[in-house]
Amino acid sequence: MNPESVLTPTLWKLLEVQEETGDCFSLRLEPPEGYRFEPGQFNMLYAFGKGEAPISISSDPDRSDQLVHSIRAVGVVTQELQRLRAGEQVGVRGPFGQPWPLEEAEGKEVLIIAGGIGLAPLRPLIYRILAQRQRFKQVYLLYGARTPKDLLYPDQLELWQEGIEVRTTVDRSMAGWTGQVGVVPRLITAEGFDPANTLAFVCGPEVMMNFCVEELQNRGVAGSSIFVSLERNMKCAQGYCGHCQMGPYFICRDGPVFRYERIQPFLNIRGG
Amino acid sequence: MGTKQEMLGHPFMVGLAPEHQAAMVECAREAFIQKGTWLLRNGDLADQFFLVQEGVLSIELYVPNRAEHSIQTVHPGELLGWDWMVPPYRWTFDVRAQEDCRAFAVDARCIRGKGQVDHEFGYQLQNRISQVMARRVKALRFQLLDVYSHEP
Repeated sequence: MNPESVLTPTLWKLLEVQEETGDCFSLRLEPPEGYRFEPGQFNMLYAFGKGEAPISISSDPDRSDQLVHSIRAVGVVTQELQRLRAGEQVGVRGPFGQPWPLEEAEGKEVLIIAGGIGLAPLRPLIYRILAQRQRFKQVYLLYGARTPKDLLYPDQLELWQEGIEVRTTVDRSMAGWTGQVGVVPRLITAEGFDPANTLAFVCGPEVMMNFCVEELQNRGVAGSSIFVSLERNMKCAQGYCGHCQMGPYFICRDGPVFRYERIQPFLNIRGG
Repeated sequence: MGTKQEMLGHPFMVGLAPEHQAAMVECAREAFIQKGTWLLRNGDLADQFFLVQEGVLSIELYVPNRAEHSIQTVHPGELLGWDWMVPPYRWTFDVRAQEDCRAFAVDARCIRGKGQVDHEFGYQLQNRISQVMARRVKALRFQLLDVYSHEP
């Protein structure tokens, strides 16, 4: 990326808006030639007249013809992005941030743990693992959502079963649901992985990640083998503005992916 | 066919003293629960508990004018049921088999009797079941947080 242009969005064409779950949708965009990203990175998306929001990239990192962002419509910018239609333009800056360190997982068992829309930043990692499946031992995707209809990418969850172990759970059951009911950490308990040779990638609401990390550590997985993706109020995405500072780190520049033992001292610090 | 050895391999049994394991085995029988069958009903006498070996069971609560609502599912390697420990020894939920299940059903009266004679056995049992209860309560608290809701 040209360092002079990192604060100036470029215009990308919107190819498709796809409904995902009740309040989630995906934007399929046409990236400019030469654009590349790594799993876990994010873009700043600009909705004209409304503002910018950091959105993780959720498409296949090895496809250069399209780029997908799965987004939850919860604020002014994301609600405006949801209103866009194919053919319109979106301002994009990126990619930014540190990716999931997949190379550390080579020859190991891999636990991918997601909660809610936390599956979106992990999907590029899953694509990459499936493309290079022989590099890893057993791979598990443990995914929890609020209700069965809130499970993201249901068709792909089925497809991925061919390459990795996929386990899902919901906090609240619905009529007709015959799957697991309960929280994501209970999925960790049920799996028979070797904690000494496992790397875990976790993404979801921070409290959910805390519960998962606790369960992983109870099972013997070291904090140095656990990676989490954090979310804060990111603005410049360059580590200049300080909006997303956490202790000595800027989430936008030093994260969003962190080794758990590195960021742990700064989690759960309560404000006055 | 479930064997004594198989029961001793259940996570709830691992680490118990041999004489306490023997006491548990003496009070247990193998149980098969067909998919869709109600295993426990709210208000019925709680006279046993289960060490699940195979299949998934659903803990449900009946709410009038609504379909049965699954609160939690219980899986192989887990313990199901503790109302037999607390008077008036009645189940406080329904349990249905989500798939064909196999479990070791442990007779509560038999176990309570042995615990009254051997207090160390009673203590070890209470201690282990308390851990199961603590884990379930913790999970339920997490569920109550509704962390995937977008409301602040």
